[in-house]
Amino acid sequence: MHPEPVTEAEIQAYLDGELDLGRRLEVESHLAADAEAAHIFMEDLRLRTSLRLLATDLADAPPEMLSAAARLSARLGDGPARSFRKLWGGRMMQGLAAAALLMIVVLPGRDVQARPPAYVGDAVAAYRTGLLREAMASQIETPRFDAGEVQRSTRIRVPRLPAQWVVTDAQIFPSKEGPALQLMVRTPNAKKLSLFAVRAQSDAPVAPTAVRHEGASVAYWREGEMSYAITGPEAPEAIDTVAETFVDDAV
Amino acid sequence: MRIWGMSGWSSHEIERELPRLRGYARALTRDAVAADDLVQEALLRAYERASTYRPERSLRSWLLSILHNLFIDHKRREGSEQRRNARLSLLSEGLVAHGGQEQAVFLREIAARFEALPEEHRAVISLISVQGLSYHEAATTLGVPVGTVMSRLHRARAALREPQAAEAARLHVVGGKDAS
Repeated sequence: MHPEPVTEAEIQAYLDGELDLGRRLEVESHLAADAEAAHIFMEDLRLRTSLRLLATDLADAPPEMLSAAARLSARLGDGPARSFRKLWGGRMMQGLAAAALLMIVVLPGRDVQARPPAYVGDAVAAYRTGLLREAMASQIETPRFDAGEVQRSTRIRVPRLPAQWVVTDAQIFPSKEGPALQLMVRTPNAKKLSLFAVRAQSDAPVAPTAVRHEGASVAYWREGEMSYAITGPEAPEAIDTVAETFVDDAV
Repeated sequence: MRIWGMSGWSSHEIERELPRLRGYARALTRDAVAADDLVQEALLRAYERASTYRPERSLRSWLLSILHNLFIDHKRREGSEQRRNARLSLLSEGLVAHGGQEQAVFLREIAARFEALPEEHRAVISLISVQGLSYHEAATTLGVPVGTVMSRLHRARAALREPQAAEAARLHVVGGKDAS
């Protein structure tokens, strides 16, 4: 069986998150074997990051814009579309169908513009502190971690960690929302990640969304009354993939 | 995997789209003040036309296309594009605080190349690369076929690349005709 040759258009579709997994693999194999194509791809990736960086310096929205937005929400939320929530469901189904049709895989990491909830800042701070503790001889890590005890005393529900993950440190951090649990973990490929969990009904999305925040990548999501974040040094896409495994696991 | 719109509807939904609208407006106008004026006007226009909004349509594409059409209307009326061309690169001032000197130089260079792109190329790059729309959403926003979006995107990327990389890619490109 001979796979379809990979075209330039497909490499770009790959970059834009438009390919299904099968074709992604084809493109990755192609890039792994073709140094020149890989170089161009990295160049395009660099361009995208630069343009996003250039677009990050928006000042706060002016108040008249916020009130115009609120008026529009109110208008769309009632009137002829009274059953808006129901229709939204219909729209979602339509979206699913369209996505299947076009094999669109949206990389959540691309949703860079949404403002992350406040606890994400705490998660990044906790991650930095975790790295610092690890580097300091006088700060003793607490690798013994008892999820049951944490849940009993803080009501923080800890998601089940992948079997190969090793907890290297567990700390309770104060946060605006109350006590938060932070675990530093080592993954099988020696990556250091931080899992942050706080009992708070934040406006984090149910599906993980990844952002770059102060030099680290954070994927954040909510599960009922719990808000979670995974922080690490990798690209947002990579962190997001890690976060997805938790969410899939929970279902 | 996440599908757009799964997060559900709330009154914050439009507020959450504001950065996207403003970013896109700025890519089009290349002027922060003009961009916010355009967003403000688009919100008012959307309010007037709320009854034409069909919930099965993506709210994001709907708002972005209202904004886009307003921009096109303005351009026709005022020839403001020419005036702005004279003010190129104002946009990139003051946002080179990220990273070191070398990075600042690179970012400034990219900003200049971006601003020199024709408007329809700025539009697709902004929608897809920066604002994270899918090809399909971008096509809906711009009211053109997906194939046109893709060929514009490829041309825009080719123009943004380093001169050497652009040359190498030219040899790699298969097809790439602009359907419009």
